Amino acid sequence: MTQEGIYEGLKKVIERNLPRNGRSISLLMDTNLDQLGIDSARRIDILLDAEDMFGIVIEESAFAAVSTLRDLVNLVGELALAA
Amino acid sequence: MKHGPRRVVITGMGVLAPNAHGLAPFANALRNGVSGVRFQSRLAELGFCCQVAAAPTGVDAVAERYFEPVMLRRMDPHCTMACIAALDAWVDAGFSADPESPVDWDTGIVFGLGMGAMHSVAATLASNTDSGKVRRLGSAMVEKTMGSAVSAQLSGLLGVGGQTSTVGSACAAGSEAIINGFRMILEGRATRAVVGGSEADSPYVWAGFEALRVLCANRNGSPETASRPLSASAAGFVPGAGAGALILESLESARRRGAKIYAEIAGAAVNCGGQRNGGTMTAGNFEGRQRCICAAVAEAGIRPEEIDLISGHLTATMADAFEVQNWREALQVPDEHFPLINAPKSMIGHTLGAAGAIESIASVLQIHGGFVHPSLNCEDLHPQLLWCEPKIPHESLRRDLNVVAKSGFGFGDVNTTIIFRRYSPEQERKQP
Repeated sequence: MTQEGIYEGLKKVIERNLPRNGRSISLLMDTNLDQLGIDSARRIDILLDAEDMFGIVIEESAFAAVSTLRDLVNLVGELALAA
Repeated sequence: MKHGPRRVVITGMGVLAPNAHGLAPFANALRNGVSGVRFQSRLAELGFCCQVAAAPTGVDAVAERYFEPVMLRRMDPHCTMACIAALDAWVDAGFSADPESPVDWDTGIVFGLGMGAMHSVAATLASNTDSGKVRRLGSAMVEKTMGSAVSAQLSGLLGVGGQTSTVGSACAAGSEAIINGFRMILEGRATRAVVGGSEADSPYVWAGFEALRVLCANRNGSPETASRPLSASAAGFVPGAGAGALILESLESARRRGAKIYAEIAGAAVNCGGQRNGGTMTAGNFEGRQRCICAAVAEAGIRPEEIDLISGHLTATMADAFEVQNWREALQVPDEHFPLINAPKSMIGHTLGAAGAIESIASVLQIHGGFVHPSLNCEDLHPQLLWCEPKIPHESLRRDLNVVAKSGFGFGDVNTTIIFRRYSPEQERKQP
């Protein structure tokens, strides 16, 4: 899977877990997840949805270190390669 | 300036019923005797003897119009339907659900549930837990399954800052929620209350009743005839689902806002028969039921003969005849002056925790619309009810109704009675 493919997939995962309240959300590689209003509960669901989408298991300690979407793309890429 | 006792009026309603979504479609369905009972292939696959049920259709599509996916995945079906009905009621009352609105400290919420989040518990929580996959439950399981799920979601949707709670009194829950909201306003603890009840459509909700052998199992081939309250051939109730919500408001507030007023709650009562003297977990103590009726009538300050219509609990079990007899003994009016009586469940089945709310909305719509809906499937009237045959409408009637009494019962020998009255500005509320 390409980095672009992982990025597009994760964008869908994050969009599914974000309340929009009518706003459009811009998800760029350097977007910080905290700045999107993703709290600890939503991070759990993003982790599980990403696991389902890419067929991987993400250690919660590794996920806790994720700040930006790029960090998450890289983490998923590494795990997908190892799977 | 001297103020009399507060009056509580209904200024908004929302309904997601087995036979209609929305007030106008629901009123039309009631007026035309439209059944919401349908064959359920899933129940047949699961080996239920009862393979019919009454549940709203197309709920997923409706829900997608009301809520973002991120919110939908955090709600059990009973909560989704409750929130749809409550949002409809809120807007109907002239308010908007703005996520940026300030907290409304003067409004409370009381919602009733019967089986609550049984669907999510059985379909997701139990199976994942039992298979060692607790980690896979996701973050929403608590808010989906906690007893207060509905009132908690609604307080966030509407920005409500008064008392917000959920009541669980089985099939009387929707009615008890209305009564609790009524009291909240009467006592000055709130200006408005969002009240109602809901129940999910799920085999997990209905399975216990199937096991109890109280569901109709002999009409799978003709679903519209399956719910037969008051009938000699009634053979159990048709399980149902849905949600109803009402906005109760002090008359002062409604007048100040220039709100439309559907009707007034003139009086109400809730009690329990104590599971004595014939009362059990599943059957009513007649004295308890009659006391409940009398207390509500007394609070309303009306004479029994002023009741134009009884909207019965009437589920299509052997208890129907007892219920009508309890009304007869409680009201103590000559049979020729006994009120009309009809059974909403003949159209919408038994929506359990939603029943009191959906059927109260039906009561109010009949007052507001000047009609009495038919009681379906009771052409073969129960032999113990022949005395009141002229009082049971088989066709819709045009009738100006001033007072409608709504009864509700629940497992645990719980009773509710609500007296709805046509709103009249001149009417004064009598001191109880």
